[in-house]
Amino acid sequence: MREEMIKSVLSDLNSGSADIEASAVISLDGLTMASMLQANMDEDRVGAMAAAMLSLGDRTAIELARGALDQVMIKGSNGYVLLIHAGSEAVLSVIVRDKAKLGLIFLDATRAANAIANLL
Amino acid sequence: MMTTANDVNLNTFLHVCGFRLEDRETILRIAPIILPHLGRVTDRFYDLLLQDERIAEYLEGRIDLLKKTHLGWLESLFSGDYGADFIQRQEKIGEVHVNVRVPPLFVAASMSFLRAELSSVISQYILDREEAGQSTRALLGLLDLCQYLIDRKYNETLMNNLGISQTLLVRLQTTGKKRAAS
Ligand code: HEM
Repeated sequence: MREEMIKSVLSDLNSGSADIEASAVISLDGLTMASMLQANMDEDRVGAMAAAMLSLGDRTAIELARGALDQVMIKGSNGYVLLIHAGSEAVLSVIVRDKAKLGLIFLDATRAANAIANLL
Repeated sequence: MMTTANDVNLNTFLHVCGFRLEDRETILRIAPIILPHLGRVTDRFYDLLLQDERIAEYLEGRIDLLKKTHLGWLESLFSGDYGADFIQRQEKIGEVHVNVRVPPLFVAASMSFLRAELSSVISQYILDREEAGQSTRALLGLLDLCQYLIDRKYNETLMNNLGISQTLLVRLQTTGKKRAAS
């Protein structure tokens, strides 16, 4: 039931922008709780990598006195990965194309992360 | 003896390493013969450590204290206590070594030295061949066990410092593969 509700938030997020390729909600231990991924994406891999990046981001923000971590952004030649805390126990991972307008996507993703935090 | 009910990985280690109840009895039996030689083993150990520039750096200004600590640990191996306290003591070493930045390389090298040194003490002072064989097996198994517990906690502490739990670490190491032990 909860997984369905989270999936519906992810589905709304993905359909809100053609530039969002995939999204997933992952526990801090790297377990994928719900996902809307493309068939060629490995759910376990996305989960483990996202949770690890978020952990390092958390530590980096603390070590460099940047306060509580809000989000991590990774940019590659083919696009972006955004990681946003969804409450204290999960992370929303959004996989985005390279030509995307990030401002709008950040807004939508933050809204989705808040909605997911309320469901957990 | 070991209280390992919830520690699947330690059980696997013990099953293969083969350190058992009979080994505890063997070690207690040879303790009075081996204990008097441990001071000398520790002195030789420190002479060797001090010859290595990289290791010597860590010892500067605290040789006497460390010698005492390390000799105390070596002696404690002969106490016959291999229960929960023993496990915790080895794990504490892993944790302390992270804090003082002593890498596992140094522990691995030290253990190797101790395996050779203690085997040589046994062959010199335990003349019955069967007893010597049994003693060597027991003591080497115990050193292996200590090294496993120290290294395991060392890695766990390092990862915890990065905010990466053991579950996440195993996931990272095994994505796309069959899940492995941590
Ligand atoms: C067989 C390998 C080793 C064992 C079993 C061992 C054991 C121990 C123990 C029992 C402690 C005290 C832990 C506590 O406070 O509870 C300790 C601390 C320490 N060890 Fe080792 N050790 C080993 C190898 C080494 C080596 C090769 C070095 C050399 C660099 C080293 C450097 C230290 C240092 C610097 C401390 C911290 C002492 C302090 O300032 O409190 N250890 N070790």
